[in-house]
Amino acid sequence: MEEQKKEDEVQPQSDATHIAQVAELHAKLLRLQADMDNMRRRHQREKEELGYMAAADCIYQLLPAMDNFDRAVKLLPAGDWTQGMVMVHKQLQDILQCLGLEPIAATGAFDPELHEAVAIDEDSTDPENSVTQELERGYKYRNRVLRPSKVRVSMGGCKIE
Amino acid sequence: MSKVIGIDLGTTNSVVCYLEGGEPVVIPNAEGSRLTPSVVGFSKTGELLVGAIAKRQAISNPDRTISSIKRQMGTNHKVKIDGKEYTPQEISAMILRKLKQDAEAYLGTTIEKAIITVPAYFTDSQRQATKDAGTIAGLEVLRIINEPTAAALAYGLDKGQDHTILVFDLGGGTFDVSILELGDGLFEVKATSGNNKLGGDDFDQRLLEYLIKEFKKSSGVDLSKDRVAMQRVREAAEKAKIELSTLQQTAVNLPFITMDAEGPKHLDISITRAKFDELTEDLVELTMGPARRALQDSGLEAHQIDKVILVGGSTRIPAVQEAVRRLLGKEPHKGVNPDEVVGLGAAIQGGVLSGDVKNVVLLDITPLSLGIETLGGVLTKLIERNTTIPTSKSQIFSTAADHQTSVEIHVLQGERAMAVDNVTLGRFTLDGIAPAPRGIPKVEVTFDIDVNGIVNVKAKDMATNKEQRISITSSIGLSDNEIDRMVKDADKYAAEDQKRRELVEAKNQAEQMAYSAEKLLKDLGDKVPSEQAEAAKSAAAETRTAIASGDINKIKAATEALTKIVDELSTIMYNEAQAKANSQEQSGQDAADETIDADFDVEKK
Repeated sequence: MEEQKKEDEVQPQSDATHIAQVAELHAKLLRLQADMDNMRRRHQREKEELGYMAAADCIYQLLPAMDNFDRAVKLLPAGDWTQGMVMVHKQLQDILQCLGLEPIAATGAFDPELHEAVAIDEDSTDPENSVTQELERGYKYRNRVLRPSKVRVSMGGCKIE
Repeated sequence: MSKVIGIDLGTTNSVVCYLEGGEPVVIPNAEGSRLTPSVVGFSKTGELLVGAIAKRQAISNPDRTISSIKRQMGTNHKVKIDGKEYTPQEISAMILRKLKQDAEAYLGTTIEKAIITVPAYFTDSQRQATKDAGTIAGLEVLRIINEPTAAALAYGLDKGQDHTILVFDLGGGTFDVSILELGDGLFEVKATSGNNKLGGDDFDQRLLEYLIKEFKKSSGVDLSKDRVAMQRVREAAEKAKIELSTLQQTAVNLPFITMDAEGPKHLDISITRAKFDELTEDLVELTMGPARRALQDSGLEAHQIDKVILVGGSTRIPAVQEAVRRLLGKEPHKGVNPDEVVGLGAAIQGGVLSGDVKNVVLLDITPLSLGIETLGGVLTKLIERNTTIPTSKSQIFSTAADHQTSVEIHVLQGERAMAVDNVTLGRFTLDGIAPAPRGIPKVEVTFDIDVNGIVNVKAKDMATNKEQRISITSSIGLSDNEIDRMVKDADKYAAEDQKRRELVEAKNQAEQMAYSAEKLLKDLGDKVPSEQAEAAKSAAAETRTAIASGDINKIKAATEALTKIVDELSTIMYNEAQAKANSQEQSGQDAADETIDADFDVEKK
């Protein structure tokens, strides 16, 4: 029943070969263990990242609808119906804010970390390289830029060719 | 020895990859993207910007933003910024340095060596310039390899017989066709052709123009003058293009796109794939010329091409794939992300050069699941198929009948739910288990598969430490065909097996409930009102009749009725126990909670 392995059947080898082999295998093992260790750590990081990405992606997909809602609210004529819609709009904004979504301010100096320049403003008298208009609102999600603001940037009154 | 990274230094985007356990993997950049725009910028304050950030400020800072520097590699072109001159090598080095730094941050180690890819048509001086860029970035460039070769490596086409490969690379802004010949494990470029001003952006442009035209037709408003609106339409066009690669039709919805005296206007246009194909037909045809030229230059006929590889995001367009298929009369290789395939191949080359690939021990996997037969003739899997070996797994089981003193371990291999439909690898009996109520004894079953695929199964009685084992050497002895058939059968009979398994589970549960009822009645004795005791007895009997009938609905109904009665009985028992503050029953309860509900097949002695 009991199976026993006979290890002494292995052919004897010269010591030097053995030592070299052991050293090589040892090195391989250490590398493998190090790889494993690194992989475990990265795995942990990736897991956290994945959680963030899943939520961020979901919210990101919602943003175009939010943009259009923003546009609608801005253009609606005054009235009770509008009042109601404005309230729903506000509610949606509040919910997203509670989830960790935060609008990016599109004023002051242009910052490529937060803003994407989609047009230049040649006529603006604002200081050069400042944001003159927000074309699409940008958002941060849990302190990371989810979508940069699309903005127009002042050329400080000088025209560029 | 440090890791070697593979870099696809592209005209519009770059990708960095490395080899992890023999598999090439894309390294995301610091912003979390797998693609890094090949754009370099200097902010007005003199700060260096690389990648997406540089791209975002390109429009407002055009004089200090450099894109598509790859087109200038190997020339004497100089980029002059703030009075300082930069060579194309230096600009490329800035991109490479970011890729290196992001890879180092991701991998948590320093990186010194890299493989960088270049188009097959690059001249020696262009290759040298690319190598220099790597050196400037602090990388030892082990080798510059051709992009089509890297793509072929990513598909593992360097192995096997000699053959010819056509690589069709339609990127964001460039188009390349290369024909490679593999001989003695080495790739030789037979011919290249292309169009360096054709890419996915042109397809977007066609859609954009169409949307503007359609909107003007229906609303009379010309959006092309409205920058804000144009920005939205451009993005929507690209999105629609991507959607049309998988869908036959998509709708572009841009509410409040503009405003006129009557109020807001909305853009709402449906585009079919057929319409998209019609709009871009000439662009697709433009790729065919270079493809034919490459064939001609290589002196080969279309039918002499053995493999076709698609590279670049725009090869996802169905009409492009169809055109390639028509031209060459064969199905292109698929499966590797066309945006990443070149970078992945570069990482493989890096692995080969650093010896990593050689060091990779090809680990085997178990082709079929392994497990034991448990109560009701069910296969309980301990090791799932496709698990990498060597591996081992243990699980605790228990007995199925009171005072059972031995258990039979029936070792099985296969994917079907019921034991009888699988292959028996062996059987053995563990006896000498101390007599106890069902569910109390704990038997630990351990499966261990060694490197050679030998399966050792051990069963150990946790109470006495008595153990019994078996060693099976023939488990992987099945032919590929047999394995394939078994896996397919499992799929084929999945629904049927599921039903049988549910029935067994329902039976087991019913049996367990009937057993509990009878045990409670016995334990409680005259503490149960006779009326209630009678009801419990008949409910238990009914349950057993239902089990015998084999009708799952009857069994479930009877079990449900009986469960209510058992709950009542349990309440009596708990009240009783509390009143007495007696903990004698406790140990038995605990043990029952911990054991797994899969009980052994009973072997009565």
